Amino acid sequence: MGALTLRGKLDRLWPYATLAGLFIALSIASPHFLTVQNLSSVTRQTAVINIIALGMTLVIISGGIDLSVGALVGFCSILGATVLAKGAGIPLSLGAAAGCGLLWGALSGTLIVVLRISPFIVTLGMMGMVRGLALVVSRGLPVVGIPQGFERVGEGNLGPLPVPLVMLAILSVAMHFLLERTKLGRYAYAMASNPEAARYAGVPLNLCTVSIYAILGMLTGLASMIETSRLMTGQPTAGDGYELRAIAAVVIGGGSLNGGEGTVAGTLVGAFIMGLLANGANLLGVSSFWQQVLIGAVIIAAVGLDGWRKRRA
Amino acid sequence: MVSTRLTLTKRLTGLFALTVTAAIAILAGCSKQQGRVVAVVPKGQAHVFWQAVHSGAVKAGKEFNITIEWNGPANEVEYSQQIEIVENFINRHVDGIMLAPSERKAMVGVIDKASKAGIPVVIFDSGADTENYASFVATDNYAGGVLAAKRMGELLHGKGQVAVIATIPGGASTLAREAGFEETLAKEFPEIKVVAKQFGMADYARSLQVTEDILTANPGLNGLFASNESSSVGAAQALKARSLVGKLPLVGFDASPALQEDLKNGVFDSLVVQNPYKMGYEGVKAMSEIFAGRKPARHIDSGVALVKKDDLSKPDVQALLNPPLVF
Repeated sequence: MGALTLRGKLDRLWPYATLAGLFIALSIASPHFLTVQNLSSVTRQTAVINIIALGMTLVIISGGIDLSVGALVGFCSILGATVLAKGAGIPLSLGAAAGCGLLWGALSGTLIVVLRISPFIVTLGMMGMVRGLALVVSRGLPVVGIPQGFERVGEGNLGPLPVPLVMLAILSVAMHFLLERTKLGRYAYAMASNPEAARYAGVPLNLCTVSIYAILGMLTGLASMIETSRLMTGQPTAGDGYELRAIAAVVIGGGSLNGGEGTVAGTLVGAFIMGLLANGANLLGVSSFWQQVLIGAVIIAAVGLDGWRKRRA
Repeated sequence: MVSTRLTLTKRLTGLFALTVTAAIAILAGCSKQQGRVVAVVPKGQAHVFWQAVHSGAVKAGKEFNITIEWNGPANEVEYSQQIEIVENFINRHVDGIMLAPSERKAMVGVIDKASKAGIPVVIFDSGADTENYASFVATDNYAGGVLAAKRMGELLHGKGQVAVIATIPGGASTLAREAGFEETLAKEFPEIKVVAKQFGMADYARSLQVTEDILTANPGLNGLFASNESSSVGAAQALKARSLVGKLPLVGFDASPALQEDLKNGVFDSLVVQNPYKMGYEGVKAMSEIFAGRKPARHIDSGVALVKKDDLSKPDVQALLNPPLVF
């Protein structure tokens, strides 16, 4: 990146400014917004998308995309709920869901590498297969019998902080470290900008691709257990459309679908902008129809502004 | 360089200020409160059924001086969005919450949370696996299924093969209808067999598809029962597409304007209708009793009836089928 000009710095600030502005605007517009209870609700409501979006950031930086994560939430939710219902305990169920997500992600990555098909197509196919299999193994029925106590994963507190927020914080720091301080992170940026050069420079492209999709899958598996905890059932239809919300979070936060751009902080801001819009609209009595219109407009505005900034640069 | 930077900063600031102002204007314009506020949260908004519930709730709201706040997910399977909406109403400290739980276990958490926060909850349409509600307003769905089975028995003279276009696994109200239908056939008309049953997943296109596949797989079928609005629409479309109108009797459930048109044209033999308008009305009325310090009935039946083509012209049936809608 080198030294940033003042203009470059300003450009990078606008998602944060929008989030701050939204926060202030909602504090003024609704007396119920700035309460501990409501803010803790917002973090619980956005944690699932946020955690998936962390992995999506890595995938998008590498120039890829993954459309199967929404379906994966449903599949991992079924598996994790079944493990819980069999009495295997919370750690094992989290491990099972994360491991299952990791395997599906690795399979997507492997197919992309071996068949040399674009990630969009591979993961589009995986989306159908994973959702279909979730419905097949569950016969379309929710998995019930989750023992009491599991609701703490989504609804509980660690000290004063909601458990999902603590999970998100740890995973965000880990993803930031991965992107900034590890070979895989630097390779991810390099892969998108010039894959041939990266290959000649000795980047193991295939291994990197498989790892990147596996990491996203693992994070999606973990996120699915927060969803499961909030529903207290395993739902084969859970997570419908989450892939698009995760991609939107990355893009609003400054990620580029051409790869090479994106940060953890930006993605978190993007996800919280969408979360606050939904929360604020609910608090102010705006219907869920208008929420969709608003969020759609924000996505276009964010990307439009980004393109305009690049053309001027 | 300096001037470019200034223009850019200005533009960014201007754009940002515009966005926020517009957002506040849009959002704040919609929030007006007076007297008691009751949040009404349907399972979804895609069906005319829910709009009739809304109308009934607004009517009762005017009568009892209660402001109705209406919000729900677009689709009936968006469980976590329904949870979010209820949580946000709890955080707003509305005076009461009316909820049609989209899943009987998944919604237990928020219902308990509301009652812990001291907000009375009236459940409508479908049940939930908790006791923390003040009143439950619903169609006696099992009785609706029984009505449909008796009509089917009459049509087939107690003999033949029928199929069920079911709605969604885990939907308490539609499962009760399907059970009422199948159990009554087994008990009172043992020579009528249910040879096929598929879920339309509360989706028009999917219901059409499963009906077509059932028709293909069972050429000897004598009758069809569809257990909600979307499965009825799908079944009706399939009969029209295969030119089976009038040849294969279809008993549907619910009565949107499109379904009434199909009843008039003979696509349906009859429709089992609920009274969603009364459901919304009775729910808000129960709330008003709670606000007045009284205890509403634990269970309120909002009624169910079988409507045939000839009944359509009757004024009381018209009032039931086409209540005035508000938006």
